[in-house]
Amino acid sequence: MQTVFTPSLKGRKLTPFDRFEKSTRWFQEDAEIPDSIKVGLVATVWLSSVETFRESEEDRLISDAANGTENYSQGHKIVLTTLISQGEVILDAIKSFGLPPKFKEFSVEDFESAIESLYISLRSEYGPKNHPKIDAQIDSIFNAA
Amino acid sequence: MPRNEKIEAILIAWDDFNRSTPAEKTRCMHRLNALLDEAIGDRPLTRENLMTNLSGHYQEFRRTKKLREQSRLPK
Repeated sequence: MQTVFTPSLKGRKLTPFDRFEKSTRWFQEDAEIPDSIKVGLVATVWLSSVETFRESEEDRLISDAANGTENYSQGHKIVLTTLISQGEVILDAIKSFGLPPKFKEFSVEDFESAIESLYISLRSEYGPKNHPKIDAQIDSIFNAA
Repeated sequence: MPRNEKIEAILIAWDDFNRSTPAEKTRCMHRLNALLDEAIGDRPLTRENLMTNLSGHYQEFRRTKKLREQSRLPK
């Protein structure tokens, strides 16, 4: 089976998913464990990692407001893009090997949607801003509501 | 920009999408997209345009919600 993990970046803060990866290499390399089981477990842990990431974002919003600092740091962007990258690799593995037969926790579409939620965060927080004319048009929609 | 019901509905759906369980992700994403599409109507705008515009509001929404949750916790 291809590995569904990406190498950790040196010096980057470890996400729960990274810690899982480091501590379960034996599991990935065990040929007796079916690939779909590996993929199902890895996908589940990645989703938990996304949940933890969202919680940490909220904690950061509170502490930044209290300290008068910027909303997010470069570290946030790095973890966000790392999660997207890991998610895409896992999605590829899900499509290649499938999820376990009795797996009912989420569908492939749900996993794709979870990745999309991260892309939305990336685009809305770090992507290009709207042209002022676009923003004015949007403001008029909401002001008219 | 003052808050209104349309914005509030989008922010709630956006937050539900981010905080939903894995099995609810697709349903929540469709709900958010439907609200964005409804707001856009036939204007030459994209969902991305709206979410970029509302990003600051969303951060404030999350901060307020989290503070409210924390204030409810027993000391």
